[in-house]
Amino acid sequence: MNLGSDELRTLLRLVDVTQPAEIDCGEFLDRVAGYLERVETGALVPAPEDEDLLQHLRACPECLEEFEALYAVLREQRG
Amino acid sequence: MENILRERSNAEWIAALGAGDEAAVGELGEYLRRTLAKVLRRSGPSADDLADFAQEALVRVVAGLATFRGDAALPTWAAAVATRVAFTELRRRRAREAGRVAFDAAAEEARSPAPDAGGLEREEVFGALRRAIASELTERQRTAVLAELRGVPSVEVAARLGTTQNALYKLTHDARKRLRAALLARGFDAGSIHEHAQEGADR
Repeated sequence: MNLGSDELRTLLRLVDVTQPAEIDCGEFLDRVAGYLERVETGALVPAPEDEDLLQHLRACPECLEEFEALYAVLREQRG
Repeated sequence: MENILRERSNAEWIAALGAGDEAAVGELGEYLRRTLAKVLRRSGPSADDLADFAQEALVRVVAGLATFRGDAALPTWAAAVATRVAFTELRRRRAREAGRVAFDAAAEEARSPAPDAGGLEREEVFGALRRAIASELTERQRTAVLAELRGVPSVEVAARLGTTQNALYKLTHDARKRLRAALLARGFDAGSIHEHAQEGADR
């Protein structure tokens, strides 16, 4: 296999954040709206129920990309 | 952005959308279109794309009203659904252009997983990780992991493996767990894995 150092490091980062139980992208989508609103209203300390959403964001670059894009726009809209 | 949504409770939204109320459907569709125009501004979507993505999202929202958790305003949830719809379609298009070749290369590599021997392993942990990929993962897991590392979007990886994106997440999550267990078994503790993972993180 011709995995380069950058690819191995990316994989190692994903392995590093791996938890025994993680929610999948579907459950993340079902729950992210509530989290977006809690973050937007200035809840700086994540609620306990948000931890698995944060964990998913650490492990899933695609959901992170969507989250960051939407979060920025919702802040603009309400700011 | 001018607020185009009439004030409604979630219960009112659900009732109106469920009943096909044209005003509510129209307002939410326009809200989604305008929101997507901003969410996607960096990729410069066409007006037709924005209309199509908003329409597809609206259909999914109405079809999924029973699954709405109600822990946010319904338009926020709808905007998250629309963002997923739009990004997934844009990733699918990119995959059509470039991802097919990358997936095929990843699948070919996954079939012959012998780790590079004698290569210039700059760090021992990378060598252990390569060996674990070869010995601990199934061919299907290797294909998925390699394809995603090569930038093939999950929608394309799932389609090529004949599975769903949620099942693909479970497949790669299990792969990551196996790799982590293999590194721990080979003497790397959690702290050293983290340390190696963070090296160069600011690049």
